[in-house]
Amino acid sequence: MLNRRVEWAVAVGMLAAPLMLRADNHSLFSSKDKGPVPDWGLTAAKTATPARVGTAGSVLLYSETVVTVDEQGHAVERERTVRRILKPQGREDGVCVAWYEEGTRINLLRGWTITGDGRQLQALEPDIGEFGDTQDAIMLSTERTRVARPPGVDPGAVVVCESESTFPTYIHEMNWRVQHDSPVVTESLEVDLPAGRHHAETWRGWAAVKAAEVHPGHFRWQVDNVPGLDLRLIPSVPAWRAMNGRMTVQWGDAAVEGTEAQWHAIGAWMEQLEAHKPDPTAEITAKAQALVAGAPDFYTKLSRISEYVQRDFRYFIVTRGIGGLQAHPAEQIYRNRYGDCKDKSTITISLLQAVGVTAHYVFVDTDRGVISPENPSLVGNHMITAIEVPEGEHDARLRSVVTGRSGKRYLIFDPTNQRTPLGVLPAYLQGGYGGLAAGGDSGLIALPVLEATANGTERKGKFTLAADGTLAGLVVTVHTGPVGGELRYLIKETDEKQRHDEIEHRLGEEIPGVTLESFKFVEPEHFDQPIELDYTVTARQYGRAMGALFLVRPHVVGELAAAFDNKPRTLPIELEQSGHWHEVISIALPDGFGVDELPDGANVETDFASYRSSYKVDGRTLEYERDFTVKQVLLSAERAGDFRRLESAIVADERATAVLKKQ
Amino acid sequence: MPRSRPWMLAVAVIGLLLPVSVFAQIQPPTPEELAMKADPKAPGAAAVFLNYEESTDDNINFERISVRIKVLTEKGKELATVNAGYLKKVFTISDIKGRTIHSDGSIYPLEVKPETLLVNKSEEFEVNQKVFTLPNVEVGSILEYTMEVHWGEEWAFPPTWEVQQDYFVHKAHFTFVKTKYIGGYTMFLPVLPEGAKVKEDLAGRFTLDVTDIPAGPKEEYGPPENAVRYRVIFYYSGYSNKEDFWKYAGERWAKNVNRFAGEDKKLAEDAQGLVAGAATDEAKARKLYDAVMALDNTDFSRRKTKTELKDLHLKEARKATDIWNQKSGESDDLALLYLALLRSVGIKAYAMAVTDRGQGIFNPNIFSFYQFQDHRRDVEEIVVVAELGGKDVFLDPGQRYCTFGQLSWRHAFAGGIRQTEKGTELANTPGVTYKDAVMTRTAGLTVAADGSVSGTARITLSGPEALRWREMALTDGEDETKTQFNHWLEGILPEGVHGELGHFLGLAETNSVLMAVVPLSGQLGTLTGQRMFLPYTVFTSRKNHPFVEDATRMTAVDMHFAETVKDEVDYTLPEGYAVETLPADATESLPQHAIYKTAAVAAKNVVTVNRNMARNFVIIEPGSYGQLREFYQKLAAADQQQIVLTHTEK
Repeated sequence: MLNRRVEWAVAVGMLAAPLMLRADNHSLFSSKDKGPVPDWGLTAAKTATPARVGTAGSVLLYSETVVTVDEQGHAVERERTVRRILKPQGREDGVCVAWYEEGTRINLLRGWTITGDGRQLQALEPDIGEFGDTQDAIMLSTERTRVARPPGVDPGAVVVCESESTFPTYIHEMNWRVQHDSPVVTESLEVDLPAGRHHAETWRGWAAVKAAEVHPGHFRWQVDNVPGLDLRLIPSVPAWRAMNGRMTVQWGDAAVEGTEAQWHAIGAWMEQLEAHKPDPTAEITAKAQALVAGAPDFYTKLSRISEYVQRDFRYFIVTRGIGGLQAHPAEQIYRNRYGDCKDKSTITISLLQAVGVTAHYVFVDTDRGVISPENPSLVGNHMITAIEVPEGEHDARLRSVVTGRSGKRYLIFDPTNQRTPLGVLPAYLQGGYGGLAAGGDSGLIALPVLEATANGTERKGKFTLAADGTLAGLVVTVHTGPVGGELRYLIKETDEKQRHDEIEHRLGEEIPGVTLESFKFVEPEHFDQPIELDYTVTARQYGRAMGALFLVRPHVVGELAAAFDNKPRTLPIELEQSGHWHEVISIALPDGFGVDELPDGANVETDFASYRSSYKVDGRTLEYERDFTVKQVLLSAERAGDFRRLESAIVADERATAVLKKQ
Repeated sequence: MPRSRPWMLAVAVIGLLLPVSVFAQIQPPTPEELAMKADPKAPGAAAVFLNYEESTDDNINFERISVRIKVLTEKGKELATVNAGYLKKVFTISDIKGRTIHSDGSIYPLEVKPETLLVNKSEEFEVNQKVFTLPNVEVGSILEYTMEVHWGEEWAFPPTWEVQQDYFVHKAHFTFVKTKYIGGYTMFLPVLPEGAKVKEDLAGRFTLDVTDIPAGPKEEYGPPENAVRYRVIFYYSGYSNKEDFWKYAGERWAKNVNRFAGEDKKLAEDAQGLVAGAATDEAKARKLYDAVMALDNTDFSRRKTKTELKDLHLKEARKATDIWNQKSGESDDLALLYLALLRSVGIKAYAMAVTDRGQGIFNPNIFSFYQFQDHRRDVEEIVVVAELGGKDVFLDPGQRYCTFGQLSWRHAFAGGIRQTEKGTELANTPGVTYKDAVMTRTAGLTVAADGSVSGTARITLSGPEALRWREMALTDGEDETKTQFNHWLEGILPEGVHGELGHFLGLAETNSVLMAVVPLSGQLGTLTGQRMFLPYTVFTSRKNHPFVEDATRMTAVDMHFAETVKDEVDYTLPEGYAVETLPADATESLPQHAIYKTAAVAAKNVVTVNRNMARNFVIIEPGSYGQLREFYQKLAAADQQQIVLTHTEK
């Protein structure tokens, strides 16, 4: 929204007393950095553009990253890149960027353009800016990005960047992005370690390359001809970060032999980092004890605490330096009643600890596949909780349970997800991995894919079709597990009008011309109870007279088909969530009409999903029933044929037409 | 055109010094406020403002804001976090105080020090943000906070009172004391509900008290928010009435325009060369238009930086001839270059500054040319009016690829100021008509016995939609435009049918239609034992009909431009199937505004369907919304017609 106040202020102010608004805290550019394009840049700029660049807007001709680690394990990263702009949209790649936050600094950021006609232009002070991390209204972050925009970035130009910045002192790993949006001709990573310091390297999504030891302790990896990764038009595909090639070098505690040992070391480091953060205060203990008083069983005890955290602690991120990884003390979180995922895990662990239940941190990523077993690292964006389940405790409601290598069982719970009940996991976490920080059990754990019955929707629709084609009726939907959690989020995040609009919009996409007459949520107090959404609708011209025929689509509402196409598939297929969806629709037919023909119904059975539907007439009522079960969340590309067969059947079934005739 | 670069600054800080709160006196909550669980005046609201107070004194460069909010649902808790942006070195924000009061009366003061975060920083300015979040918020809490804003003595800072918020406001009080240090007049533009009035006392203090202000509207196809929200804009002016302002300021603007587009011998010679052989003024105007269109329009490519200009030994263009020589300019530069070229071949032509309709609505009661500024690109919105064949023809040479004789929709149906033979006058531009904006979609599809289809679609576009894709291609390149076009296709094709753009025709042309050729394939027909059903047209998915959600409307509907959509699809039927029933021809209309017609015919084994929709309106007032919605609902339902084929081979 335009803030005219500022406009006028500036306008009038300028008239009244012109003022230089030069930001003078510290310059973003130092005159000592002024100079011509370095030789390495000039040399790399001569690299020919590869023959196959696809639709990429630019190509990375050369990238060199050198990480120098000192005796204390502190690292400095120098990065040099040379990129040719190929197309207009490639201009946005023609910037030089460096990040810093509290406790780190940018030593150098320089950028040049070599224009198509050979001129050299350097980004000088007017071309350099700095941006805070303020885009998200629920975040307080001290991270900053410095951007140098070399002039003259047009197709044909080559952009040369050089930066140097320090690592946070607590970070002892380098995550090297091997694959980018745009193709790469050649790129290298060098890690220079002090004498005697070990390192460990792992690769994900890219064939490992052997390092050359340039000098003792100085290792160099080089990768050539890396294709760009553009997933935008590929349907049902995992997240980009789960697909791109990357490599990690460890030089701290996790620089040990074997991925299992590395994961263990990372978990142990995380545990140490968060040590004592959850220590409960007397106030926290009193609250926890009050919450669990009279709880009849272990599950109830846990769920009273989990729902308290989910409901009463606002999600608000405060990240300052190491605060990106380290939680605030439980005392502070409890006082403010807000925090981010680390804080929510901390207060959960604290409250549980206060009533004698042990729980631990698990770092995860909200995109399945980003954390992968073969690549131990701190890559991830979220923290959740693992709650120790006592021996002999086998409550069927505790579904998201994993077993540590000690044999201990852990209930995995995401306290930041403010609506998905204890006992199950949000769909985005299922089938992924997490780094458990739990003493001897520290290490990688596979997060379970829950059985289909833990999630889904039961839908019953009862409609009446009038002779003029108007369909009217009531739909009752009951949602369990993560699907129910999503609906609870809708209630949480919207007001009444927004909810109405959202529901009517969704219905309108499926039933053109629909009017949402009424809707009602039946939301039980406890998250582990199914949530119900009932609504009544009217849709004119839903049934359509065509000569002697009268056509009606028995499937009225509730699309289940996932996006698919008919192209050859090389990437995995993301199914999003396991679950079970069952639907019964009955449509009372108008007087004087009988059924002439019904669709055949569908029947697709695979090991990852099944879909069945049937149509019948019972007296004056047309009945449609379908049952859809998804058992897996990710398929290999080889299963594309089965996936298409399934989705095609669902689409055809959802569009199928029943034919009525006047009797 | 040379312009004051400080506007850059203004653009950068737009939306920043925002709903900070300041309360003069923290009043204790009433028992009713504490007990409130829902607000009958704002049914279903997530939160309501109990009080909003804003006091500005431009003599002491001071503003105080005070806010009290009642949280009614989980969503309302989001108001506990406050982000207040400000321009460093101009403003400071201080004395932030806040507290959360639970419904039992217990109080939790804000103890965490507000953070100062960088938003962005450049050589010229730095924008910061104060952020704080109130503690221990729960549903039922009352949130209170106050804040003080100060600015330097060298600044005068008349406020804009944002009377309407995103949430219902029970009571708001605003005061403003104007500065004594600037002469002239203190003007204000009120957009207020009935009965609300700004009062001015003898001491020069303005006040406004309002109650029960509904939440600001957020509606599909709504006009720009800043044109419809309740607010009062204050400003200082040397003029006391709009007639004087637009007359004298208009004269100055016209003089600047004429100076920039002034006579130049070399430019005139070049212009004469360009129009050689053209017999009419229109033919000359077209040739010059094409010449300007061929230049680099930096609105869509890249503006040269200071560093680059210095390297190239170039200076900022001061005259049209500079633009001509550099072969490159911003949209307003190019518009004025075109003006100069027209004039140099003897065609009467005038500049017109307009408000970008995507950003606002021209208001003559605001005495400012800033209304004509494109905030996205930092250029002035200029169109050219040429007298051709005795008629005023509106032209948009600053919009690369805009067809001769048409305007970008952002400049069409827009108000502004134009030059005339006698001086200047306020005027409006014509709209984009349904004849100017035509989308034609044809497809020839061969249907197989299993219901699958294959064939080719051709989509031709003229007017604003063609311009949109062409501008995208300029900015992002053809490949990226294809990617985005394919996204768009996904939205208009039914599930199961896939289309991927083969190629564009006319993507880099100004005066022809844009055509996209799209191979189509996939599963379109659905089968029963005896029949196959085909959707009426392959181009209308169920998911893109407007006006589904809202049964009523607070603001006018603004669809930006009128348009015509013509579909023709030929289905070649599979062997063994014959047409059993075709949908009856249908007509729906919104009298005077829109018409929709469908017709289908079968000949041998080909079924041809036609669907035409012409919409000849741009804006419809809320009072007519019901009819509009009804029309679109009928249209949505009518689009679901099917062709019924019978299996003839037993």
